[in-house]
Amino acid sequence: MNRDEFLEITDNKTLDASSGPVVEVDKLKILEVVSVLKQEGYDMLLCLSCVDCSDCFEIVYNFYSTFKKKSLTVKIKLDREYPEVVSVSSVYPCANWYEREVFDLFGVIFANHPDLQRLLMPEGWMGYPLRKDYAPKDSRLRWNERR
Amino acid sequence: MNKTEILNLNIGPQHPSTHGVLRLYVSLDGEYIKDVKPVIGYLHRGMEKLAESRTYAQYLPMVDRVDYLSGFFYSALMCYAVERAARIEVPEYAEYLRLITMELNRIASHVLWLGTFLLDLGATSPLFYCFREREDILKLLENLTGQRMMYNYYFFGGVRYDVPDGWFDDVKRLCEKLPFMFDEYEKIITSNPIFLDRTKGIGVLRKETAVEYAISGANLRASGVKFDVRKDMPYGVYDEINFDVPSDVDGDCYARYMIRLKEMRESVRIILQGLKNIKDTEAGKIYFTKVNPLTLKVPEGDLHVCVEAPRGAAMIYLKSEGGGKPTRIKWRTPSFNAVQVMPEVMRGVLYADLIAILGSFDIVLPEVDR
Amino acid sequence: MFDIYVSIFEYFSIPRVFIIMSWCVVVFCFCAALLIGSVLALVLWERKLLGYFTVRLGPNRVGPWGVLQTTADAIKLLFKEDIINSGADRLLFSLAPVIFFVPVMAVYSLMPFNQWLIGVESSVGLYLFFAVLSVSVVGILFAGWSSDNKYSLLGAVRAVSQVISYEVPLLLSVCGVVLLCGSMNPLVIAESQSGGVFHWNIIVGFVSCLIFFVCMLAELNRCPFDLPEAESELVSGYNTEYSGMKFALFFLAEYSLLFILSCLFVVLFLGGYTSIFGNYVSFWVFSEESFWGQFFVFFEQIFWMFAKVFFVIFMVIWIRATFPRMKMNSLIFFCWKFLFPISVVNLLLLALFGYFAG
Repeated sequence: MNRDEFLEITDNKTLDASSGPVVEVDKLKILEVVSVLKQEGYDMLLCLSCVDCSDCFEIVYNFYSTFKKKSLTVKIKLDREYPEVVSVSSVYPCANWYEREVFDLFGVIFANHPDLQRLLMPEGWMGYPLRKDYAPKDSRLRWNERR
Repeated sequence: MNKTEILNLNIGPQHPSTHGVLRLYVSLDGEYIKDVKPVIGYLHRGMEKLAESRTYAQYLPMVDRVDYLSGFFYSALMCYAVERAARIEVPEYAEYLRLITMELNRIASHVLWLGTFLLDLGATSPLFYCFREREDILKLLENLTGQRMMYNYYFFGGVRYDVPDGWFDDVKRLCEKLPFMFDEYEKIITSNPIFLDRTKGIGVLRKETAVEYAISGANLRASGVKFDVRKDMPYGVYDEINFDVPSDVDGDCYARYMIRLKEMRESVRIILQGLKNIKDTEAGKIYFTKVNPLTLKVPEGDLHVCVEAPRGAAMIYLKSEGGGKPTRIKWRTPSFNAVQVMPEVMRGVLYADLIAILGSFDIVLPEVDR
Repeated sequence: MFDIYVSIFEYFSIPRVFIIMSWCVVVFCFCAALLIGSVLALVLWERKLLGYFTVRLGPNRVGPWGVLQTTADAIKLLFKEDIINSGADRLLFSLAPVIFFVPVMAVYSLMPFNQWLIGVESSVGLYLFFAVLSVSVVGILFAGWSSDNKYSLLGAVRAVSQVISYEVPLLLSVCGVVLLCGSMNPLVIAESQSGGVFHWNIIVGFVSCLIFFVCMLAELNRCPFDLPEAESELVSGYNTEYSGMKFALFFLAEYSLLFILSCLFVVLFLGGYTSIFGNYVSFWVFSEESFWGQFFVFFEQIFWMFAKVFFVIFMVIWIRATFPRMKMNSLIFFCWKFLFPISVVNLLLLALFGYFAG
């Protein structure tokens, strides 16, 4: 997808005041796409979330432009066995903690991330809690918290 | 040759002041802060995981607790998301009720922030005056919903109960009293030289940094960007109400304080307009059809909804696979970003200003950790 | 009072040594009783006033109107376990509250509550007052150092720097009063202000009065200068590691220092025990020379003294309820860059005024 096609999609009429258009991007091109977006005026990365679909991980980026007052959503799909993608924190610094949270709760590895550590769970926690197949076999938990 | 040593200091997670369980790992070089590393996660309750094994109606009462000081806003997020996804219509009367309660909640939250901010700075009396205001608002909301804090009042399709008799008059009376109370706070605090010394020029958040870190709400507006979700992505009946969005350019603690005071006054204006407009709607219609909580199913798809919470722009990302339980709910909370931007603001600042800056950002930990 | 006492004993031909020793005991008992009584009243007065300032009631459960609250607090502190850190210097740790407290109690004997009720009347009374009081600063330093806690040390160092910085403008403003009255004897200073409100030193020495009041707040580590003690968000003060009776001693010393400095303020600027009106009320009713006149004036002077002292303490508590805390560097700048030059200039002006006005 090149820059003009991309801009054509993003300038379309928005479906929803909050969401704006939704674009699916290949995970290898995400850093390029994000840099283009930053230049085009989408200066705020409102949210970065991850969804555990049973066959893949889906990362959803939510951009907003304070000048144009428009939103845009970008989705990428990751492999479920080895979820890895490039970090966008070099372009949008606020992605730093969002990516740490996704790593903490889902186990997605972000390459080139300045400080990829657990954020919400205690240090030394095993497992990635928000995955659908998370069944804690940790002996530290009481019997009725294991499944 | 002088050799200075870096002193590592731990602030929290238990504080004698009111910031909740936030741990700040501070590296000091003499009296100046070299680096701050916030450590969060002490209040992580797994709100997002809990959503996956509950139906929408079962999860809705838990949503108030994402941020207990602004429970209405997160309830509203959930309700708007499900209503938009399942195409449920909400009558205007219920939308105006939602508007009035949300703005009352905003005033209550800001007033609590004011009291605790001043308590951190050392003034012990304004806390009690602020709580006196908050008591009035909470009594009103208790009359309406039965609860003082975790309201559980909004439901898919409208609100749960109609207002008791005379409630609108009580709200009107309170709204007429409130601006005089705000004038009192301004008189005692705003021109106080000690207060000015401790907040003017302290903790400057530059506009570029604020936008890069996706700060929203009063923190962003104090740095010069006029971004308000109520104006830019309107929801509910906000497009029928006239109100201003105050903003400032300094970005210091004093600017954030002034913006929040002005926002409180704007909220009073919004409530008064809401009370006027609600007379033109069909009174008593709190939902069109009562949604059956046992059989509510949301069609497949995903959507985002944004709302202006007291601390900034709160957002929900709801993904459903067509069943009665959500597949994924993600809460985007404004305090998360505010804690993330702390190191940028606090670098090179005097140690004594740390508490003033922390207080001025209006951080509530349950929002950060969820 | 000492002369009357001596004359009674000399009537019975008791050697002077025993007279003086027994006088010391009497003064000690009097100071102790006054100290405990005043602190009891003061703690309750402050909590009640702070309550009323903040739309609350203050203590009202223990005893009618909360009168027994401080006694209950003291008894509670007595029952607490006395903990000393393992790394703390035991001797200094136990000595610090004593060093902080003893000078404060000692200066109670230098204060005139009445024309006759003064423990030690000396022509350099004021000088002695400040000399003895300065020793208590050492107690803070011992407390912070011996606690084996870097936060306590930081707090103690800040408290000490604040106290000794603010002593300079304090003493300069007192010098102004001494110039106006011509004596360092507190009795003479109080007597020179007799004759009603317009003879009080606050009229001429208004700037001195303000400087003294501000420095008094700083000496007491009170709001708005209470960074060393209420900086509990970041650093706990020098008395963190103290529990039980040692903490009670610090607490007691702080409030009794408040009382005695307010008494000094009243003696220096508000006319001491003299009445607001030109003459004492007792002398309107009874004549000055009669026994009953003297008898009633004894109590009336005590009444005026305590009324003024409680007024000053009311102002101090009012300021505590109103203002936020000052930052440490602003505090020190305020002292040296603002108060110190003003107090020097004020002293000069008062000296010139005294010279030309005779």
